[in-house]
Amino acid sequence: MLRSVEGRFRLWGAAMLLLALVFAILVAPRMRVETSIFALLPADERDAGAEQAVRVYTDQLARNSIFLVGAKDFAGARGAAQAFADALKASGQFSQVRLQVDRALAEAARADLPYRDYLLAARHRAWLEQSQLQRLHDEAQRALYTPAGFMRPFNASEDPLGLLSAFITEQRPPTGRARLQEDVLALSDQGMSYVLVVAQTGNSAFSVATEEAAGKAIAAARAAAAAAGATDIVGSGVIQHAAAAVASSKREMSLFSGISLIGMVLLMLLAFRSLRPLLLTALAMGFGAIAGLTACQWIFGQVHLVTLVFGSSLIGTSVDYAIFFFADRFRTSGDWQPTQAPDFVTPGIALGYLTTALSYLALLLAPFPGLRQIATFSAVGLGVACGCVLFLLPRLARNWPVPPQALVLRLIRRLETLPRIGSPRLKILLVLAALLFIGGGLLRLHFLDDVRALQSSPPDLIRQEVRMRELLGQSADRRFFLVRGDSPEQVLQREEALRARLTPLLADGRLGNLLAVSNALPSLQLQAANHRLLAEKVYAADGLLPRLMHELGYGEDAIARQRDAFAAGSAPLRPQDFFASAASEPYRPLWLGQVGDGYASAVTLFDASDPDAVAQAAAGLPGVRLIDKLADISEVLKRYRRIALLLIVAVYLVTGLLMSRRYGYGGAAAMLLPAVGGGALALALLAWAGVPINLFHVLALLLVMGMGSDYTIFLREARGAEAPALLAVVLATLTAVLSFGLLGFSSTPFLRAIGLVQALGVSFAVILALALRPPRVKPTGGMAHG
Amino acid sequence: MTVTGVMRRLLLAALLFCGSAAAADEQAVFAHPLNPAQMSALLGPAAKPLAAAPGLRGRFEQRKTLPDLPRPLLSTGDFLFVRDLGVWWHTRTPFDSVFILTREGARSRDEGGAETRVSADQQPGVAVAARIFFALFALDFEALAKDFDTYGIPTGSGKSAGWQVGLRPKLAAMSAVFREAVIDGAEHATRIELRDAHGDRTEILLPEVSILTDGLSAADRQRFAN
Repeated sequence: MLRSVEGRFRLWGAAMLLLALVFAILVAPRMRVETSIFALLPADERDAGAEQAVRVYTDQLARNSIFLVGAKDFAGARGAAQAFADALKASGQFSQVRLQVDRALAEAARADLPYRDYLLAARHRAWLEQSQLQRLHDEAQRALYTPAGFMRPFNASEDPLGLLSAFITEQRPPTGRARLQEDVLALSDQGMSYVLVVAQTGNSAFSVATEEAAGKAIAAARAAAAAAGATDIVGSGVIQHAAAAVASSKREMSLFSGISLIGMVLLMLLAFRSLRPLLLTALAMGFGAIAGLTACQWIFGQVHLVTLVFGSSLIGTSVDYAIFFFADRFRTSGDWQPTQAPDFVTPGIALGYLTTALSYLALLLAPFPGLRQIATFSAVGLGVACGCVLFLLPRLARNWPVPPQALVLRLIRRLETLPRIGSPRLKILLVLAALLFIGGGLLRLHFLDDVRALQSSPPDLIRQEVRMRELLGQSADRRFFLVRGDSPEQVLQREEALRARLTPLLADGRLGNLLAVSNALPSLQLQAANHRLLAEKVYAADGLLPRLMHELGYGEDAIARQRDAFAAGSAPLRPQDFFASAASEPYRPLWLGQVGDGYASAVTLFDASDPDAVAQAAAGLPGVRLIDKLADISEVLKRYRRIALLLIVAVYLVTGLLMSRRYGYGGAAAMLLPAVGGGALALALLAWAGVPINLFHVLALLLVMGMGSDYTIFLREARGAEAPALLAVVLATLTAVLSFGLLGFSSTPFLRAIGLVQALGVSFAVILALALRPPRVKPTGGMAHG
Repeated sequence: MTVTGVMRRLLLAALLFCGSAAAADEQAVFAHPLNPAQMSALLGPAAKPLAAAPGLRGRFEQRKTLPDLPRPLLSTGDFLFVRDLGVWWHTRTPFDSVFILTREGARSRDEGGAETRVSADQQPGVAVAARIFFALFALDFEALAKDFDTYGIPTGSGKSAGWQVGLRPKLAAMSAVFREAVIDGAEHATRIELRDAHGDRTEILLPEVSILTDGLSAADRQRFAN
C-alpha cells in the first residue's frame, strides 16, 4: 500500500484528518499562550525547589502595579487619583485597588493588639535581654511627659511602656518619600503633587488574556485621571510591560505573517500562474502549523507567544518543499505527471528536511524552554508539511499549461546562464577576499550576554520606571533572599538568622532597608522568648511595669490588673492568624507558602549599595540563598553561547558525515561550503557593523546551516534537470529572506537577532551555492530549452 | 457609715459633677463647625502678628491625665517654634529632655542620654504629627482643615477677647492618638487639650509666649541642627 502514490495519499490523508480532529477538539480549546520571558529561559538546574519558589515569587510580584498620579496641587492630584482608582476598580480586572491607606494602617496596628504579650521590637528585646531596663523606663517616661508620646500609634494608657508601639513602628514597610497626607500616600516633586495608587491583578500577569484586559483598563484609567486633571501619571509594574509586549507581538505576528503571505502568494502566482499550487502549498503549511502547535501543547502544556511569532515565519521555510515540488513542472515541456514528481523531488526534499531537522533538533540540546519549543514546533511542523508535499500533492496536483514566453521561463533561462566561478585563479582570489573579510570580522567580534540586552520595552515605559524610582526615592533591589525550610516556623527562624546578619549593614547604610515576613510575624520560638522576657523583666512583681506605675502614682489595684491580664495568658501570633489579619497585607507577596515539599519566603532588599557585602553576610546560612535572576540568566546565556558554538561544529560534522555517504568526503565538503561560508560571512558582517553577538545569533547560524544546505542539496539532486531546481532555490530564497528579514525588524531583540543572521546567512549561502553549483554535465531536457 | 465616709462620697459626687460640667462646656465648641474661610475670619485679626513672624517661643506646662491614675503627670519647660525649622521642646521638670520635631522626623535627647530618632521616611505617621504641630503653633488652620474637621467660637470680649477652636481628626491613624482637640487662644494658642478614645487627656498650657519679631539667633538655629 505504501508503495503506490494512492496508498500513501490515503494513509497520510487519514493521518492529517485525525490530526485536524485532535487539534480542533483537544488542543485548540485548551491552548494556553504563555508570555513570561522567564518561561523562555533556562530553569536553574542546580536547585529545582528554589527555581519553583522564585517563580511563585516573581508571579506574585508581577501582579502588583504602582501608579503615581500627579497634578499641580495636592487636591488636584487627590481628585485625579480617585478617578484613576475608580476606573481601575470599575474595570473588574484588578482584585485590589488601593488609594486610601489611612484606615488600613490603623487597622493593621490594632490587629496586633491581642498578641502583644508575644511581640517585641528588636531594640526592646535587646534591652530586656541585657537587663538595660532603665533605658526602657526612660523611654516610657519621655512618652508620658513630652510630645514624643504623640508619635506613637498607641497612647499611654493602652501601651504604657510603648512596647507594642515600637514593634508596630519597626515592622511598618518603608514608603520611601511618600507621606500620609489626608488619607492617602502622597509626595511632592518640582512643584507637583503626586498621589500613590497600588493595584493588584487577581490572575497571573503572564497570561495574554489578563495582560490585554489589564492593559486596556490601565489605559482607560489614565484617560479618566487625565480628564479629572492629572498632568502626569507615572506607572510601574510588570503587567504594563507585558501588555506592551503582547500588543507588539500581536502586531508583528499579523504584520509579518501578512507580508510574508502576500509575498508568497505573489511569487507563487507569478511563477506557477495557477491557483491550485498556491492552495495546495497553503494546505501543506496549514497542516504543518497545526502539527507544530499540537506538539508544543502536548509536550510543554502551553505555547509561548514567541513560538507563535517565530512560527509565523516558519511559513517561509515550509513553503520551500512545495515550491520544489511544483518547480518539477518545468522539468518537462510536455505533459507533467504529478504522480511521477516524487521520483524526482523526493531525494532533495527528504535530504533537505533531514539536514534542517537535524539543526533544529540540535536546539533541543540547549536547556532553553523557549528554544526547545521553537525547535519542536519547527521540526514537527516542517516534517508534517514535508509529508504533505510528498504524499498529498502528487495526488492532488494537476498539470497546467505554460506558454513558451511565460515570465517564469524567461527567468529560468536567465538563471541557467548565471555565471559559475570556473576559473581557478578567480576562485582563489575570491576565497582570499572572503577569508580576509571573515578573518577581520572575527577579530572584531565581541559578545554581550547580559539578559537585559534581550529585554525590550517601549522607551516610555522604561522612562516611567526610572521616574518612579526617582519620585519614591527608594528602589527595591533586583536581588532578593530566598529562604526555605521544612515548616513555616523553620522559614521564619531562618529569616531571623538572616536579619541578624544583615543588621550591621543596615546600621552603616550599606543596605537601605529590607522587608521580611518575620519583621511582622516573629517565629514562635522568638515569640516564646519574648513572652519569657516580658514575664521575668516587665510583669514580675519587681518588674519594670509595676515599678514605673508606682512611680507615676498608680494604685495597687491598677497595677494588679495589668499583671493579672498578662498572667491570664493569651495565644501567640500564629502564621494562619497573621495571614488572615489586616497586619499581613504588605507581607503577603513575600510569603510563598508551601512550595514543593517545603515552605519558602522572600526577603526583599532596598537600596543595597554594597551587594557583595550583603551576599557575604548571608554566606553559610542554611536554607538562605541570594537570588540574582538577571546575573544568573546572563551567566547561563554565556555558558550556552559557548556550548552552541561547539554544537555548530558538531552539527556540521554530523551533516558532513551523513552527506559523505552519498557524495563522498570531497563532495560533502563542497556541499557544506555554501552554508558554512554564508554563516561565516553573515557573522563577519555583523561584527564589522559592531553588533555585539549573543547566544541567539549563534543559534541562528545553526538554522542557516540547515537552510543553506537545503539549497545545495536541491541543486545537486536536480537529476539532470537543473531548471526546476534553480527556480525552486531562487523562489525559496526569496520567501525565506522575506520572512526572516521581517523578523529582523521585530521589537523582540532575540527574534531580531535570529532574523538578521538568518536573512543574511541564507542570502550569502544561496549566492555561494549558485556560484559554486556543479557544472552542467549535459543540456537539460527542461522546458526552458524546449 | 462614718461621717468621713459620707463626706468622701459627697466630695466624689461633686467632683464627678464638676467634671462632667466641664466636659459639657468643652464640648460646646463642637456644635459650631467652621469652614476655613470662617476660621480665618474668627482667628485672622487676633493672629495677625503671628502670621508675619518667623515663629514664637515661651514656657509650657503639660498635664497628662490617665484613667486609673489618681493625679495628673506634670511637666514644664520651654519651647521654640520656628516656622521653617520645626518645634524645639525642652522639658526641664520632672527630668531634662529635648524633643525636636522637623519635617524630616522626630528625635529626642535626654541630658547625657542617647538620642533616639524616628525618621519620617520610616514612619509616615510622624510626618502627620509634624504637620499638625506646625499648624497648631503657626495657627495655620487652612492646613489643619485638611486633616481635621474644624469647629470654633469666639470667647471673652474686649481685652480678653479670643477664640476657641475644636478639631476632630479625619484620619483613622490620627484618631488613635487623639479623638478631639480643643485649643484656646488669641494672638497665639494659649491652651491645647487633646483627648483620646481611652480616656487619656493631655492639657498643654502656654503661658509667657512671645512672638519672634527679629531674625533667629545663631544659638537658636543651632538647636535644630543635627
